[in-house]
Amino acid sequence: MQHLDTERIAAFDHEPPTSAELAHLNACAGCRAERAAFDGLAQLAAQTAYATAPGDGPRLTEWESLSTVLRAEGMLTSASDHRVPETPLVVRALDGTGERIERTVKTTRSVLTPSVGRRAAGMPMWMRSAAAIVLLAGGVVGGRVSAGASANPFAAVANVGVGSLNAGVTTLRPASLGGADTFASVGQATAVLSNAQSEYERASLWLAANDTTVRASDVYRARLAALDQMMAASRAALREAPQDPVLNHYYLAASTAREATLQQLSGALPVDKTIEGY
Amino acid sequence: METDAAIVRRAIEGDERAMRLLWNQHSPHVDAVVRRLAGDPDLAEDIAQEVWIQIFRALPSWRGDAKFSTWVHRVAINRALNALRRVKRVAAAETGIEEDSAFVEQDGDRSMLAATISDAARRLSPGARTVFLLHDVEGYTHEEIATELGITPGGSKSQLFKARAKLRRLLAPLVDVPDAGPSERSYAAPGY
Repeated sequence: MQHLDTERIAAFDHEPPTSAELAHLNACAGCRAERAAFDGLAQLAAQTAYATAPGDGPRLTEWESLSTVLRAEGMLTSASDHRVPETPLVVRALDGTGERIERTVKTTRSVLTPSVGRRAAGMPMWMRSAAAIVLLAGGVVGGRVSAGASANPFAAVANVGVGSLNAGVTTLRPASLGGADTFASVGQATAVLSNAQSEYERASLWLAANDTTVRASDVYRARLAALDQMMAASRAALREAPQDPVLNHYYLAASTAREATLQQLSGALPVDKTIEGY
Repeated sequence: METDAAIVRRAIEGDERAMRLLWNQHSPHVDAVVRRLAGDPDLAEDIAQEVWIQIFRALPSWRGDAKFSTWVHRVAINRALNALRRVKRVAAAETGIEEDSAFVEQDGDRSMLAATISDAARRLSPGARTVFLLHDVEGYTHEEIATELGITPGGSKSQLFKARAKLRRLLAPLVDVPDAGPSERSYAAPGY
């Protein structure tokens, strides 16, 4: 007697047996046992979902490493625990093409210069620069949100900026900014960019002098830390492409925004900080 | 005792203690999900941190209508699949299934069971393993699997049935029914 095919029995919960197959099952204890075994497998599988396996070894993540990245991405902002690992972190990640990367991330102790996280360390320079650009744009949003009633004033910054940090799924344009084909030429787009740049700088400086709605120093410190990173990324990119107008625009903008933020903080630069020349 | 909602709210605001608490409570479970789906210890280690970052990033989307652990579970699966898709491990969904045998010990303990099924599933091709885990373990539909993996629902079904047949053989000591009578089929694993 020809037994039912194993894969066919495995599919009975999707495609019920035909009358001929049912007749065979009634007559064949072996195939009935086979069907029961697949039922047992399904039950075992269903019980597995929320079970953790013993002996899986140590945790896959370490909080120190994870928190470093979370802080660099602006998601972890509590000032109460700004511990930085004593030793450099060896981080492992996958880049945008799925290749494994491993490198050492050196961290600093400056509150104004959060340590570079594992993802930032794994990103190519152009991506870091692009992230900085988006974060800069997000800064406008963040500043406005911070003036409102949001309990998480930097959520907007984080949401926009962090989105661009997702290696492999790099989205540099918030959906609200429309499609990428709205400019007739590179020249036109550059002109718009330049104009927006000027407007941003003007508005930023005006806000620094006139905006009295926000006085949360933590917000300014977080903003300043982000701007420091953006400037560092832009500066590094400019070493490779010193004449690139986009990079120059955003380096200047970051610098301007940093100055404005410092004014809002009503504080001086830390002794170990200097304004970089243009 | 602080509720999940309160902890999550603080975590969204960037409170490190809250974020660490969530990580501490749920990382064993997230690790299990990542390990199962990755099927490879090194790969699991590579993507686990990214999965956690994505979980924290997605916290505002938790509405409290499901248990937080359930939500984390779902997000962990989704983000792990995203990471795996990047390394194109899942793209091998249509490849054949290895013809290895496996030694498994019978144990009624649920956690041991999880280890056993995970171990056996590692013997499957990446695509078949992912489809099996998503459908039979996690309860995804074939349409959802097709969307996640970029394959057709029919391809998902085909992979599932092959995976089940293979696992049924690998896990024979666990799933065979003792009193079902003699079978002419033979799935005996070594030592069985």
